[in-house]
Amino acid sequence: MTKFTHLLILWIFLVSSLLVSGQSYVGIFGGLNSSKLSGDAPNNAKYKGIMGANVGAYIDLNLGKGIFLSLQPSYSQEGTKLSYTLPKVEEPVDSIKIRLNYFSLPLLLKVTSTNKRFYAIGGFETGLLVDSYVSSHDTKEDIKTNVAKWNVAMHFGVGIKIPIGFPRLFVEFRYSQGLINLTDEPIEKSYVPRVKTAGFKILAGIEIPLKKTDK
Amino acid sequence: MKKIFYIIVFLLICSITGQTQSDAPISERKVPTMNGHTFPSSSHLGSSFITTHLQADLGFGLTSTLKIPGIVIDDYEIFSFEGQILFFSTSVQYHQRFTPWLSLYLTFKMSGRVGTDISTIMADGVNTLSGGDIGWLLRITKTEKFNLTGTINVQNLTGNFINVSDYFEDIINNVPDPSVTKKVPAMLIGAGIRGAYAFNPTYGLQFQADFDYGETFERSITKGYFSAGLIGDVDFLPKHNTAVGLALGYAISSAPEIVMGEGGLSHLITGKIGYTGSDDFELGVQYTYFNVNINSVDDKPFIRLIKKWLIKYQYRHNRQ
Repeated sequence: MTKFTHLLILWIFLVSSLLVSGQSYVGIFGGLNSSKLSGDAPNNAKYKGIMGANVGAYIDLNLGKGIFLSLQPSYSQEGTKLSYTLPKVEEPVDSIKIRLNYFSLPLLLKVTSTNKRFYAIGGFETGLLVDSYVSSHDTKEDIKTNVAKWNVAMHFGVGIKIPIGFPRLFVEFRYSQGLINLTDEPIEKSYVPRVKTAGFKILAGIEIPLKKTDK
Repeated sequence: MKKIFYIIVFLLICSITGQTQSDAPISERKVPTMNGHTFPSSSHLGSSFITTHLQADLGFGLTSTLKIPGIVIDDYEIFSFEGQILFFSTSVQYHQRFTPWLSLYLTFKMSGRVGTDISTIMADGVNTLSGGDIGWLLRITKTEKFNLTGTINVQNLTGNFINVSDYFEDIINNVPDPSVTKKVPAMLIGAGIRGAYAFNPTYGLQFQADFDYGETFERSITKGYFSAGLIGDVDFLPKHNTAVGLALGYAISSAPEIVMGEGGLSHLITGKIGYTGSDDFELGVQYTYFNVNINSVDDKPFIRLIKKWLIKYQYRHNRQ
């Protein structure tokens, strides 16, 4: 058996044992990313936030005492606007949009508050770049700079759960900070020099418990 | 669209602050207390207590008179300066407690230094550092007298450096695209421990050790930053019914907000006097004496920092 098969069997065993041991949840979510690149900006330019979508599904595995391991495969639109300062123009001009679309797999820990309505969430996200482009005034082209295929980010967030009978709605706010440089180009040669992803997410969704309880 | 986004975020945070702690029994005191002792806050040592609070501090200070060397031509020194450098720093930190063993914290901070006259501005420039951190505070152990927590955090900082002398040096050395201003971002990831020990209602001790790893303010260099310290305090309220607390501490740090772009280690000696009579807030003045490397001067000057108007507001929470 390959190493991957070993890991898969171990993973299935771990997930199934966690599913049996306590109340776990599955759900879907969607929301908005307000993301931008942080790091070195090109000369006479600065990065500004750009809105994108974030959709996915998740499973929360109960680790006990209000702690859940949350697996959240999702599609996340990230990127940035580049705002340039032009001679004789007072305000910077938003002339370029850079879009980086990821398939991401966050592995997070969720901790519920004592009243079980609020929760804190945090952990790491691994993202695979599936699509990227740069657009300016209705023209779209591939990014010429070599952008890293993988991204790793750290998440910090808070959320509220709203029971509506058997399922529960939730609203969540997260800050995400990329940990690795997506590019490492000199400032004067690139419109995305040494940069990382950063941004806020506001997410909403619905979850259902996997076991039916009396409550 | 962005406005709606920020309104939703604001409402969510308000609802958490307002409700997470409302449906459980309230504690006797909101300020961090253990074994009858109330622990003071310090701007260089983080609190080990899992509470919901807002802390703001503001500080400024001056170096001793510095001699900035010039160029020696035929035994004559030209362009040498004598003057002082002004330091300032400010930060606002919010902690949100979720459970008795977990809280999330956010910090916004800014610090900088600038010469007090044109000659020192020309020689040392204007240096500012701004940014913040976000992290978790997790309780490791708690007994009647001892509290130990761990931290995990991410820092995002931006250094802005205006340096005229470096600019001319770059021109002389034919450096491509010389610039008077430099803006250097740096991201750090870190972990640490914080602890507190209450000997009795009057005396207490707090300590902290942190390690951060990440980018420096010199591009393409990554390195580790270390800081550690301890502070002992005495509270006159329990025995003498006087709402005054005194604290004395020592810390060693290579954290960027202290040493800025120059690197090296700083030794910080801190004294604090504070008001301890309120259950809701803490107010104090802290005096810090520390030394830092400044590239433009030969010596490692000591800075007398009249730190800090330190204000901390505690929100009510469950008994820990």
